[in-house]
Amino acid sequence: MTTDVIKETSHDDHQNDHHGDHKMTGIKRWLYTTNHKDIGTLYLWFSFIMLLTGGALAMVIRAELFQPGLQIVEPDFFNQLTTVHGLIMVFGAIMPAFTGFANWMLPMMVGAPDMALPRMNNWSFWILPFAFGILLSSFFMESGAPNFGWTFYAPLSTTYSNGSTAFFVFAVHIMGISSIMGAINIVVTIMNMRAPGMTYMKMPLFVWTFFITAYLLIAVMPVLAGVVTMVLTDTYFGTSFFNAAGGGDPVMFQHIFWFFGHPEVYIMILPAFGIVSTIIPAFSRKKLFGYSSMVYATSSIALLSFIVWAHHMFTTGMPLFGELFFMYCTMLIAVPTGVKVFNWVATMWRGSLSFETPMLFSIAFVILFTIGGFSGLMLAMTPVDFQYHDTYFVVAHFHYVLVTGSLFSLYAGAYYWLPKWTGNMYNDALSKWHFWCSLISVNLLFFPMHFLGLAGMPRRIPDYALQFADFNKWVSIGGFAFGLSQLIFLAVVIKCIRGGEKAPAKPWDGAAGLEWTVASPAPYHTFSTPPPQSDIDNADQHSH
Amino acid sequence: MTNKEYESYYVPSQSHWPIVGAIALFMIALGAAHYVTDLSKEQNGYGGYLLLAGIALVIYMLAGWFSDVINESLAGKYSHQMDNSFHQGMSWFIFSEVMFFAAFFGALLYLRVFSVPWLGGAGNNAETGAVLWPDFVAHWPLLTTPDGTTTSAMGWYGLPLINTVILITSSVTAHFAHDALIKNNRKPLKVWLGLTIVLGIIFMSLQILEYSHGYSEEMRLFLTSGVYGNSFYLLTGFHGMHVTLGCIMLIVMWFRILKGHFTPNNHFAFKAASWYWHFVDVVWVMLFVFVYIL
Amino acid sequence: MGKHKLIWLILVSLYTNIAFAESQLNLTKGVTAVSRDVYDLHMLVLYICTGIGVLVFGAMFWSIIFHRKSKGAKPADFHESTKVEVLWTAIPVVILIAMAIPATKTLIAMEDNNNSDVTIQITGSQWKWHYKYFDQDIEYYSVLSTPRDQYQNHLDNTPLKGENYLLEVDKPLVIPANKKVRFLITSDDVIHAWWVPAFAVKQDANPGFINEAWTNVDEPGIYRGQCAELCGKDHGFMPIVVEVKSPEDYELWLKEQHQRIAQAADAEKASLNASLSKDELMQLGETTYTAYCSACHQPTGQGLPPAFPALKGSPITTTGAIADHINIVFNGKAGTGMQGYGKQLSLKEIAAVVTFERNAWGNDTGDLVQAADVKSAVNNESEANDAVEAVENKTAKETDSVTEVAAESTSIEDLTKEYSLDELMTMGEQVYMKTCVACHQPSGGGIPPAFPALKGGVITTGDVNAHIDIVLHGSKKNPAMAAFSGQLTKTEIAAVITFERNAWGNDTGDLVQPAAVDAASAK
Repeated sequence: MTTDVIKETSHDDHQNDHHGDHKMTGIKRWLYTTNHKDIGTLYLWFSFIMLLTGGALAMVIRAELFQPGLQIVEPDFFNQLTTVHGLIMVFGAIMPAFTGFANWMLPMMVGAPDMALPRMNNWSFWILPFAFGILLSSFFMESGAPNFGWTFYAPLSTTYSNGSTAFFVFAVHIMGISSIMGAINIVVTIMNMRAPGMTYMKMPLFVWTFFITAYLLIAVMPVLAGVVTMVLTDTYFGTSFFNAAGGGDPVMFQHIFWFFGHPEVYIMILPAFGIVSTIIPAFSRKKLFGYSSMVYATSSIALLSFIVWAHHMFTTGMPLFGELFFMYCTMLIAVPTGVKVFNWVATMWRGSLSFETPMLFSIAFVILFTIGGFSGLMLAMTPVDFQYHDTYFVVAHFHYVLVTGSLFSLYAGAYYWLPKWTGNMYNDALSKWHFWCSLISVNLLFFPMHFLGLAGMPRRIPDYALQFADFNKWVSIGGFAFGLSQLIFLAVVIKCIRGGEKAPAKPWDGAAGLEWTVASPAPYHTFSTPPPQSDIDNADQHSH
Repeated sequence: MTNKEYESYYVPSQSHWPIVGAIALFMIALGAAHYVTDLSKEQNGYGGYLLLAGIALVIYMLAGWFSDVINESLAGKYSHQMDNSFHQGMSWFIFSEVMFFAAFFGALLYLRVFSVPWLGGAGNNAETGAVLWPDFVAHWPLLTTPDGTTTSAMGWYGLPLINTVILITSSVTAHFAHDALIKNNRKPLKVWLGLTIVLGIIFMSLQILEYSHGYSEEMRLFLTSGVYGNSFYLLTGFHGMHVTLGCIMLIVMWFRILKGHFTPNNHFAFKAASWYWHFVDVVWVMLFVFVYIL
Repeated sequence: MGKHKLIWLILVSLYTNIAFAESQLNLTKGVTAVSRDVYDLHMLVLYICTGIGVLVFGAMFWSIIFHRKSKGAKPADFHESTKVEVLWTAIPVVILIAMAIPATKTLIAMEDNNNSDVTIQITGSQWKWHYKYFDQDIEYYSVLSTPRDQYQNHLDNTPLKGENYLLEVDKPLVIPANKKVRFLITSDDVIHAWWVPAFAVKQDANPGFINEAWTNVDEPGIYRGQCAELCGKDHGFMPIVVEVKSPEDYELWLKEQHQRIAQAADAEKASLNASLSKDELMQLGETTYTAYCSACHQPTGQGLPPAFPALKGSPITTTGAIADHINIVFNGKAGTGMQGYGKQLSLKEIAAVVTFERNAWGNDTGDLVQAADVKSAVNNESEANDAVEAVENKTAKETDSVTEVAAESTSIEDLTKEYSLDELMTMGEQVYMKTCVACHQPSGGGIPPAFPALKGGVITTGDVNAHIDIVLHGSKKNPAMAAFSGQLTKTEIAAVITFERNAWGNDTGDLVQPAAVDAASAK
């Protein structure tokens, strides 16, 4: 279908139409924009603001847990904090940040003039601030914010909710609409907008991972919409989907939720794989090892993600057959994930390595994500999961995967492409400070959580027994340090936007990809005519 | 590619419709949340008005947005590639709708295969039945819930069967309309499409009639009548909403056809509406099988 | 793994001066065959992961150290090798199978709930555990026993936290050692999870369903665990303590329990005839309140509205009918967090706590409630109520004691009689406490938004006729406000309206006589 793009002459006035509309200025530029780079920027800033908001909530949580006893917040408010922290980080920080990367980079990487559906692209973004506005405003309502955990298990979120359920449900509905539209845009852009000559197996792995992620999103966000709808009717309209008295089952909620929730986990990590698979070859000055096996591994992870959901529910009393099935499937995921890690190491093997900040974050990603993967493998084993489940071991696991995994990859990607985005090099010394402070504090923050979990500390508790006191103190200190370290990143970005050493079109000597064939900063419109075949071949990460 | 010129992909200039749409969704979400919350507290609030205003704004936004698109298309700004984007976008949108229904069909499956039998003591839930619900007998349709609410089941013959025939017929007429459009036979196009719309409206009317039977004193099949009533009304209700939406799309197409829009080669909007119509038809067949017959 | 080392260095250096003894690093081995299997599995996976980690990260650090650009390394050109790819797909599969086999065996053993010696039903509720021994007629609640002031750090002079801070309960679950004990786990409200690490048992308590689990403990001892599923506000405050006794001691304990139940039944019976002084009731009431009620309704009686309403100045605890107050304490209130305490507290305790709530925090109704009042109020409310039946079985035969409240409400009605303010207030208060207090609270503060405040309320301070009407016929807007014309006599309605209009500082001075009510109801 890529050949469809080549058509007979187009009318000149068309060309003028879309080259004539250059940037508006002021607020209207951002409100009315259809430009993928503008929208990417909006997504990235929004997600960073959400990261800081969710982080602020986490700081209060860690302050409360600094020592045993209740000191700062009441238990119910503590539950609101953990709930909203989770929701904001998942739906407000990590996912929109990746969508921001997709918007900025995908059209450039496939040599397209913009996203396929530019107006819808803008709509996808502008729904988000409103959705999170509703969610956050519930803190100031009579009911308080949602207090039933980001997983909103029924019936705590239905019959026994504090009255915030409706706000939560409708906020999720519209952010779901936003995600689905964003994902459709990504899929269509990749399927339909690739430059002539860029076959699927020539696409950068970055594009592949976003492609697969977008499919996952289209498949599971509607399921989330379905389950929140059932939560809504159970809470306000007298249905009994999750109530045994009417023939329903609270565990059914968990099945439907995790059918969404597990692919959701991969939605937050597959793009990270793509970013890291772009950066490691660049700073190893070597092509990505096993490109096609990376594509297949990513696809298998995505497919497997649909049949492992109940490993979040081993203690719910599923029949033995179910527990075995989900245990085996979950363990299988270790295989393609392992392939990915091995491929990254093989890419570095006998390369010519240098350690610019993007590479540092990528290496940290590989190690720390793998630690998260190891604990994931441990959690996959049903009998042992009975001990780990709902303890700080799980908290440690998913924070290793999502913070030192997803978030670190986002930082790696941000440093890697900041020169392309702003036209300036970032301040190297400051960025190294950001890296090392984050690295040390994040491990102080999350590593002892493994011990806490193994020793028996349940998650989501505002107060704990005395034997957990020492580790919690250090975890809190790590938390504060990690939180502060992120302000360094803010400083780096602001400095970089305002000025700094001018960046060449391709600041990294080992980098490959069409985005480096355009100037830095990238012009407002790129690839209005497709790139030459030679550029596509040069940008190729893998084949001969 | 050297001797052919690249056909440019139309990137629209700034548009204010998306932000209007975002504000509309915000009003809908906030309004609905307040409305539902007030309802549960037996209070009156402004939520309902906000909700209605939001819906009105969404309609305004869609009308404006689509008329921009139609004008651009009629002005010949679109390429074949743009057409592809629209087609693919629509098909993935329909896929997402399929997954939305999948959540409810999945719930129905779970209720029937697991939760209700378990409450009756099946599988590893012998004690659930024996200790917690000693009087409960598992049976689908669930006419007596564990807590003793009783109701009656909606049979598949009668209205549902008639409705199935109507909707399948409407799918066929929609196809004939499409055929006529491709062959550029405008008159049959109008007739077939008009027939499709009429069938859709009859379907909806019969559906409302069926609901009124359900809510009658003889049947006492309410939304709150345990999981049978829950799944019945939610599945058929969401389907009904989609039929309504599909009907509105077809009506808009009909008026556009009257205005002379669409050519045998360029009629994306018509195709999208007809795809959507076939989609709601397929969902109905699934409903008929899993909700009514089985 | 280099990062681990770093962490270790930091931790170790920081801990050298601090007592480390209490901190546990690894999973417990536990005290059952299953828990040891689980521990072995855990260690197996841990070693495998560490091994793989050392290999992979070793290779990576080798590259990082020796293949640096700064050392002049030239990049190699390879980027594919089917052989290697197959190898590192196949080897993990083999390792996984090796892990899956023992895991499957252990899991099958864990799920085998047959042939148990003892069966105990465990029911979670917000926020305590209930244990019921099958075939033994023993059942009781197990509640956190750490005093509240130990964990409220923001109060001044928080007392020292005890050794088992937050991991101690009033009545632990008692099970025999070396016997297969089967647990039937369920819940009254939201999902909880019953977890004792030493047994490697963690099972969700799902409302309406029973999950089974079992254990067979080797050594007598005391084992502690916690609720592991977020269950609302006090999720962190519902620990589990299991006391494992030798089979002989267990038998002794059972005997003791049976004796105690018999004694309690006697005491319950005796308490029906006993009349406690206000001081005694208030004292017992305060203790009971602190243990059972203060988590939600707060020590100040101000509650945590809207979920947990204030008792201070609430109509339920002040102007409402005593019997209603009793009923809500005894049976709970459907659809809210207020559960029934009939199974958890003795009649005497309920009487005391009701008395306390009606007189503390300035409620000062002066009401005294005796165990007998509780009994009769509850009997009047509902014959069919299971909880009541339970009490009836326990307290056996006395059906003869007719209480003051009941007697008054059935006394012959003279609609023409004019009562004094004092008479109406006294009677009204009793009626209020019986009939209205559950919703409108002793303080008259209600449980907004569902149950509006009567204190300073539009209705109770506004038009008398509207007030009479709403009590007689219920509210049209709010279905929670029932019509009381069928339940109360006109005199009672007159009294309760008078009371509502004058209590809690409403002080309208309005006197409503039975005749007025009669006139209104005739319309």
